[in-house]
Amino acid sequence: MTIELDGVTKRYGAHTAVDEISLIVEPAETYALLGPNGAGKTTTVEMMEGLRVPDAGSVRVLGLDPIADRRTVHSRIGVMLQEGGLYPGARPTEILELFSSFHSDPRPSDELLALVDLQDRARTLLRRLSGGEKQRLSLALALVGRPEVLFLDEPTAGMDPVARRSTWSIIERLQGEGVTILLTTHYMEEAERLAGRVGILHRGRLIAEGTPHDLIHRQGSVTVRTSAPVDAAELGDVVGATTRLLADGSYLVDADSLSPQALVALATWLAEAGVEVEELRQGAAGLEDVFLGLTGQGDS
Amino acid sequence: MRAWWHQTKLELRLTLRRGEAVLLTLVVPVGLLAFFGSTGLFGLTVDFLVPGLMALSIISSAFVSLAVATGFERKYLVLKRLGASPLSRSALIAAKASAVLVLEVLQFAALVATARILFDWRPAALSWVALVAVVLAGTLAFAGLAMLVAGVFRAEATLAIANGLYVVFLGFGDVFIPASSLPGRLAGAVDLLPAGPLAAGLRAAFEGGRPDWAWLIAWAIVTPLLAARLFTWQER
Repeated sequence: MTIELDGVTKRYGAHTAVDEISLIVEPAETYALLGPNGAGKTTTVEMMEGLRVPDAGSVRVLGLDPIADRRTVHSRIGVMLQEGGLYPGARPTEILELFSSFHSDPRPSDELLALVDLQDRARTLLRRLSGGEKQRLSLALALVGRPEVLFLDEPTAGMDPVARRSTWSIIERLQGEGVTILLTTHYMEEAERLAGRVGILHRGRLIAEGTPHDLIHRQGSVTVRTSAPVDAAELGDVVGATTRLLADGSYLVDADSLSPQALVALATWLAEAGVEVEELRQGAAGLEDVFLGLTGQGDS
Repeated sequence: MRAWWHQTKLELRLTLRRGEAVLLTLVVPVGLLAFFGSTGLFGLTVDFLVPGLMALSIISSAFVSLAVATGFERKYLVLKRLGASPLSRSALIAAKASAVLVLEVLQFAALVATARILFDWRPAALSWVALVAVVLAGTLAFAGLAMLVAGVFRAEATLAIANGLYVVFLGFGDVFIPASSLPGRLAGAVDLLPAGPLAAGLRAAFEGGRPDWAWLIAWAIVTPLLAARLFTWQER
């Protein structure tokens, strides 16, 4: 395995930012950490990058300890911080040249500038670049050393939709080359499109893990769309499950498991309520519903 | 080695690109030398001014410029990003030290050339060994202070502290206002600050005498040790 976390915990004073997380990322896999702000995504990634020391548990990247073997690990990984990291007074070419000198077989700077579409801005002072342009340069810097593992912390935050899509296609190209990728994001679309597996972090704990498909089609959840509104709580009570009204007007009935009899009970209740069932489908509509259901963000 | 060399080049280039750094490190010392040397105001001689302004040059590059640059690199997470690259911490520190030393050589060359061209100045009995030793000790003392301030305070506070102390050293550092012209109690304080012993040491080197080391060496040991202990790579 390329990344292995075993019971990793990180505290800041009395606050436990990361609480006994264990996860494995296989070679050439793309793993996305999802979670609301403050869930512990960045702290988790930074422990993998050797930037923070865990208080308990062990972190292995490429079989090595990112703190004790930092030189070796850092020469084989690529890192994109969530923000910053660039000299405001330097030019993209100068920073790329500097990072090239850190690696034995660097990717040529002009190739990287072309990849992230910054050729026209190659000689512009960093402080004059837009937020999205800086993000793209950070991505280019992460790729200088032909990394085997890439850590991308919110790689497309602050990008316009066009830049976001072209960044996704760069990431897909790297996936094709067999690079292992760990990314954090709060764009569900990004996770669904790029990640082979997703881990959902909430208050420092890994509360769910699986392929986007598995998470969406967890046994027990049913999406119901009706012709007229019904009482969500009553609908759930029929099968003893929690039910939420989704943004598109459909209902997500979220139980641990639903028997065929329970499905019949749901349909019967809907018939008696006098509404037409437009859709009755096993599974959630998308990752976002799964995420909101698990983290309780949609309850308020 | 290659990483160190490229890092040194970029550090130096970024410093020379900052207008206020060029003003502080090159224009001010040379300007003070030209002005006081040609007017002879307050009876300051070129022999007194050159070593004093060399001390001011060391303070401006090893302390003010280094502290401000490092403080903002820390604020903008450049230090953090370098920490996730294969560049070692020792290579980064070596590069910063090399960039400061190169800048100092440029400053000294500008001062000596100005003194030579405008005032036909020649040092009385220069001791090269003493000069190099005093410059290195002074650089270490001030660079340590720079890293201490930059590694503990936020960038904005570092900027204020560095410039504030620059003014203090300018006035009470025996740099171009002779300590002997200050009231007794202040003159005593001058000897305790790192600037006074540095200027005195440089003057001794230019007169072929033995510098009075003790305080300068003490500062050169204490500030880097404190910086190594208290420096954090990221603002919290």
